[in-house]
Amino acid sequence: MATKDPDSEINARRFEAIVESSDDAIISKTLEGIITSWNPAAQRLFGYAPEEIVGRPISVLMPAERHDDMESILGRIRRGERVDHYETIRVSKDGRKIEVSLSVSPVKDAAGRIVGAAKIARDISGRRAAEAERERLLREAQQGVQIRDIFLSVAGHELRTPLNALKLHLYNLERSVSGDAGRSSLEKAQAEIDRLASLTGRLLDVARMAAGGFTLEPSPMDLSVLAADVVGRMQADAASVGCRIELVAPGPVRGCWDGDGLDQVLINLLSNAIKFGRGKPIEVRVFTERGTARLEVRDYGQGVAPADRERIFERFERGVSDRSYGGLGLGLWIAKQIVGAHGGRIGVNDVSGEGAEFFVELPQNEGGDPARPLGG
Amino acid sequence: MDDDASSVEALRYLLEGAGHHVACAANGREALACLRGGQDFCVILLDIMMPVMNGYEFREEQLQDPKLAGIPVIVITADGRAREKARELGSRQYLQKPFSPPDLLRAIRDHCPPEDSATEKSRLL
Repeated sequence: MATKDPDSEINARRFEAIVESSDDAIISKTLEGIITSWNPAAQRLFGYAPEEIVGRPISVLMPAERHDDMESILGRIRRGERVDHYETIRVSKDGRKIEVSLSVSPVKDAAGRIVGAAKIARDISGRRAAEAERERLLREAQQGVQIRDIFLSVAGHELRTPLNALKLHLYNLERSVSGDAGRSSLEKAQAEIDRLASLTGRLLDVARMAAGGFTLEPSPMDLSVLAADVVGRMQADAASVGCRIELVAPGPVRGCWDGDGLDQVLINLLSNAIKFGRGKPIEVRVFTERGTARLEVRDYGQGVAPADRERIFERFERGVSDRSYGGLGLGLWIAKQIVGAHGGRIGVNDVSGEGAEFFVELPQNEGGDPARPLGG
Repeated sequence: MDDDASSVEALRYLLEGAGHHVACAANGREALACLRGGQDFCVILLDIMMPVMNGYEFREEQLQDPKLAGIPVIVITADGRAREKARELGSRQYLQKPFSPPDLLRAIRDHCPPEDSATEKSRLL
């Protein structure tokens, strides 16, 4: 008479405990698809007690349109194959459809013959619902971004045309008007048009960069010369708030860069310095450091809190309350796109005392890749 | 040439005031008819986005016509990629709307020296 191997008995009990406590439904069936065992998780998932379901065909759990599943799965089991993470639909006792992931393995007898199948079914309804919700939100967000970019582009284009006509008409009017009061008024109107044009241009730049439709056009240039030019153009704006821009550029800083792009970078940095600089002097420094061209804009205004030093370079982000200061929150983002396309870096230095110091680093030898689009 | 009537009107006033002779067209088709009308032109101010015949289609026809191919073109566009657009159109000169009127007058002077006005050469918009 054969005696039971104590080890295999312990293993069998251990296995039974795992099956009983599993969160996944574990079901075994014959090669004909007749259910032979049914764990508590299977009862929770499908609603049948073991005595109601054991001995019945597995097709009871299948919706009519999935009846082909049984033959397909059993066919693979008969060939000794496993079915892993097969996602399908099953039906519970109360007729509810459940999304499940099935893993089915052949069960062999002592002689190695396949005599049935063991199936693990996991309820993935919750995961699927979460995935669907995530996809919906992502789709909505993408559509929102697309609509906004199209709007910005069309609005930018359509606004420039009447602005141009208005500018030309005002210019013509200015030349025909006599009297200082009238001319002064028209000059102010021209300045307002220029301001509107600049804001419009900025909106269009954002749309273009976000769509990746803007490319660098690098050519050999001197950053010190560019800085002197921009500083010269911005002195009037600075003077309007009672400050002056000082340029410290001890020598030429040559490289191959997109001049129009860097012009815009410096204009954006200086516009911020003028806006937030509390009328105190502004310094622009251009120099070379360890083979890198460096541009710094230092103001002595309200400064940038350490916590905001990354965030202010994002689109529509601002370092100040929109109740106190106007602006679109795009200037630094645009600057970052342009500098990034050159393979450079832009950021805020940690400086002692009041104010902020923005820096731009540009590789001096290579410049940007002309084909590389900005943003996107 | 420009399909925006208000811009065209203001440009004509500006350029005629500067002593130039100006012909206007609202699209490429009208401009070609004007250019082939027997007058000489020293520069073309070309808008891009226009109905009937746009700036690209106009430029293609202009360059295929030996009598017109040599007339220089200044691209004037509201498109944010004015520089790229001008290059695509084979023009080195461009102005992005809204542009400064003195900039336009300077650009035209490059092609039409003052003595040209005396000989009544025309400029096409």
